Amino acid sequence: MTSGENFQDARGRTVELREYRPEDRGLLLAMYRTFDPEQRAQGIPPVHPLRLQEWVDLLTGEGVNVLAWFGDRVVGHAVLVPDGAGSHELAVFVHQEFQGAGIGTHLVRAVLELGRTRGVQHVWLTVEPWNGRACALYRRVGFQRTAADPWEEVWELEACLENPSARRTDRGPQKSRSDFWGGLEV
Amino acid sequence: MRPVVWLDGSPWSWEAFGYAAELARGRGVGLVAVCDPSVPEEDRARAVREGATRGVAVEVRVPEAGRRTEVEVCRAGEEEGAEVVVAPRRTATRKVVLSAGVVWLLANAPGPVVVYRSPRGP
Repeated sequence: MTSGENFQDARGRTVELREYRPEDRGLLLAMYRTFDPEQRAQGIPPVHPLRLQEWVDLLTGEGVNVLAWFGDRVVGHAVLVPDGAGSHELAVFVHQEFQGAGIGTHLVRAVLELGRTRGVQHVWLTVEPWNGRACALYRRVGFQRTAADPWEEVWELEACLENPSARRTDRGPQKSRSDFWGGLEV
Repeated sequence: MRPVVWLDGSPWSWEAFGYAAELARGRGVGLVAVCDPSVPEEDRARAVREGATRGVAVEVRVPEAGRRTEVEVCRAGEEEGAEVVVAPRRTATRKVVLSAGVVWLLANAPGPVVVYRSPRGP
């Protein structure tokens, strides 16, 4: 991962996946500065330049980050951020010019694999239920919807990354998130 | 006509508290802070203290056991005839989470609902 993994996206473009490095900050910000505001989800990425920098610094400072590169351009970003309750939250963004080409799926698989090597055991995310493309991606890589209401859903990875036999059965993190949402388990 | 704020102990709700306290100060009225039962006593005391530093008398209310906080927020808003202020929560990646309680409040509050988003947050 640190040395990069290449693949051809659905449009034949060669895309490289690499773990984030501090020197990538400027180009990651450049991707988000041209990110279509209509494609923001649940308030992120921030629009204001200063807020955007703070947010990127938060994610790259606390999380496990993988970037997708097309040449010297960052075109996608996936991150696992510790949630303070023993789990990690996943977020993934692909620039609008590179969506629908399989890059998000590769990014998520790569960040989950990198997370596994860093001891990440349980991953969840929240998504707007009308974001069909994102929901399809999460389902494809093994997430299951575990809580939902009409405006937000919680998805969790089907099994623990490190050891499937250690899969949580106490619903501890889920319980706290259900409380957090007040949503219905499905 | 005291504004009402929903205080759940999150950093976001404390920012909303500050906003509501400034609203109250500008009007020369007090503030009603409805706390989730999970908010510890020291944070309830902090609400009173922080109001006092702004010259705002803060009344703290906590719903009875088993009662939903948003219902108490709604009732307080109706009694006061003023707006209620609530902060959406944020996840580790800073996604905004409305929650069923906030949406219920939006639909059922008798007057204006301010969904406060910090200008300092992402």
